[in-house]
Amino acid sequence: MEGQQDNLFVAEKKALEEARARLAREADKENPLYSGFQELIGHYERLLRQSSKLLRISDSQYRLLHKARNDVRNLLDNAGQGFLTFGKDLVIGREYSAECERIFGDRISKRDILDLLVASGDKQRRRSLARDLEMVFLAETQEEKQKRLMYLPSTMELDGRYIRLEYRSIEQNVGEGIWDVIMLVLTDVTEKRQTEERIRYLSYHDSLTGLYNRTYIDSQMPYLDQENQMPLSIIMGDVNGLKLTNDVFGHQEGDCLLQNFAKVISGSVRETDLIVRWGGDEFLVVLPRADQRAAEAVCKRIYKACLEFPADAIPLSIALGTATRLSSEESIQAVFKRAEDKMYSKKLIEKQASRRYIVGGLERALADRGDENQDHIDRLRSMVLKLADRLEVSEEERQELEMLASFHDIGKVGISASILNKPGSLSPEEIEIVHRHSEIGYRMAQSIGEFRLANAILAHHEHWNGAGYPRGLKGEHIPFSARVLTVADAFDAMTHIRPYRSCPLSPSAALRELQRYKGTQFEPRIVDIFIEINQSDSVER
Amino acid sequence: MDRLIIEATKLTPYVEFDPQLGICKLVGQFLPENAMHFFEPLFAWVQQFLRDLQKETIFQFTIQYINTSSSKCMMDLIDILDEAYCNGQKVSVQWYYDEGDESLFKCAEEFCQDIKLPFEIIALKR
Repeated sequence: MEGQQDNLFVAEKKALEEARARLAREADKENPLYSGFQELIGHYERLLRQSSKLLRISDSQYRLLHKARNDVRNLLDNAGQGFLTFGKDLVIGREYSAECERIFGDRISKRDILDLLVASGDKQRRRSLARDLEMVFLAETQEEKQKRLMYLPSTMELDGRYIRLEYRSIEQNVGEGIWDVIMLVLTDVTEKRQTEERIRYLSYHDSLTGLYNRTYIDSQMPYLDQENQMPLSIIMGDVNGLKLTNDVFGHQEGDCLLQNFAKVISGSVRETDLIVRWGGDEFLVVLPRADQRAAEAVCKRIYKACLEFPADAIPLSIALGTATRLSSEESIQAVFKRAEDKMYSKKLIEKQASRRYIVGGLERALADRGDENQDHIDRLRSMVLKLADRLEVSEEERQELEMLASFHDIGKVGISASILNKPGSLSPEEIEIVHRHSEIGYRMAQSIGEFRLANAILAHHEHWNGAGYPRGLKGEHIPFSARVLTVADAFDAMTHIRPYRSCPLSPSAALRELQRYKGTQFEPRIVDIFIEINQSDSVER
Repeated sequence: MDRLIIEATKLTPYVEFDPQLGICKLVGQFLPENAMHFFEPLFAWVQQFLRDLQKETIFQFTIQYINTSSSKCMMDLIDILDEAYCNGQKVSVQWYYDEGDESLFKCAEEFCQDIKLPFEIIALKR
């Protein structure tokens, strides 16, 4: 480094050497200017030495400053905030942090701050901001300036992003003196704001249906409690079949059912009504300024929309109860309770009807799958009733057999149609899935309160010798109706086309098969009677 | 002789020359617009002080940044001290810099070139 600086003074050093050589000459020592010349050379030599050192010091100080500047720039550029300054001419300074360019999408040096903070064309706002900024610069004390800064806008929206604006009044040393500048700190708070909005939304909404939740309705109570909201009607609704859907088709389908109800109710109420997911399968509708008639009209619309909704296997069904608050003497909570009581009472009255409605929907769903057609069910019903006659069963057992003939394979609505209708043989995994239809059917019958039928459905693939599924029950541990049905079901399966069998057996061949598996798969007594019935039928024919 | 104390500003260093203690301090950054205007009273004080100096005195400099014209004045100040030392006065310099700051260290090395005055460069631990 020293050598580099010395190169700058080659000519000066050469001149110094020549001057020294002149001083050494004896002839010049008599010259009257000699002593003055000698002194001048001394000063020149010192000046040269100092200049050389000064340049080196200055360069090293420059490196120091440059490093400090880079350090500060790195800090500012990586602070995640925009920093810029502008003076009273409102022109942005040369130095600003990288975030400013990201926020404004361009270089901003020498731009007018008003152009950046005010949308083009908004002349009134531009004038107002210019006046407010002018007042800051005119303020005489820092305290006064800080007060004035509070009048400036604290947020701005730019291309869908939210920017927080903070201002500082700064006295900036610019060499020739102190200048007043305003430092503007810009923080992109879009994500923070979106998160806050999301949190606010989630705290007041049910995430599954998008409807309001209880917290929201609680927050609205003071408003709803006002006289001008009366008559205030409440509709309380309880979804039918949610447990069945969850048990049979899984919770995803159960969630879908609730979402469908949310759609149905949303499409049936007035714009001013509040719909709330009140609990697991309960919905609440708050109808401000709606009398009992208006509330009942909404209920009718909900029932109608349920019927018309293009439902899957489980049709939409809901029990509704309404109550209306006509006087502030009755609390809102009491009105809620009345609506709830009515809803439960209605649910009790409609229990059987709603079960039949849901079961009917399941039957239709099974028929639509193409696997279990009505002819098969009719044949089975006919066969089991004949067996019932010969076995001299009670009326209750006869009804159970008839129900079992209709619903023994209802669990297949929970099995993929592609597996059920697959031609040819199934893989071990597919067989395992198909076998689950007994358990699904069992849960379905249980959820609608048909417990004996449920046990029979669960057992209709058990074998007399204990080699069946799902529990490996043996002999008379298998419910009677299941033992009867399994014989008729096997005969019908063998004698009709199935996805896995394109050439059905003749009735006599099928009877031989029954005979063959008598005592292993089937109860011997029932097979014997079944064969007798069929042989006598064929003689009669 | 009286102590010389000048408070620091944004552009000039803190000055504390204490003849009784035998310590003369300059601490801060040297960015005066007119370096000579800042240094003149310092030169006057030092020259007066050196005339009557009996005891050993240390000049302690802690410089964060120094502009070019101030560097020239600092060289003159060091030359004055060097000349006094060569004339038998017991003066020395301790130059402090932030440990690890190479530029400040090199700057100190430049100032101590071509002089006989004891000149110690001391790193300040962070």
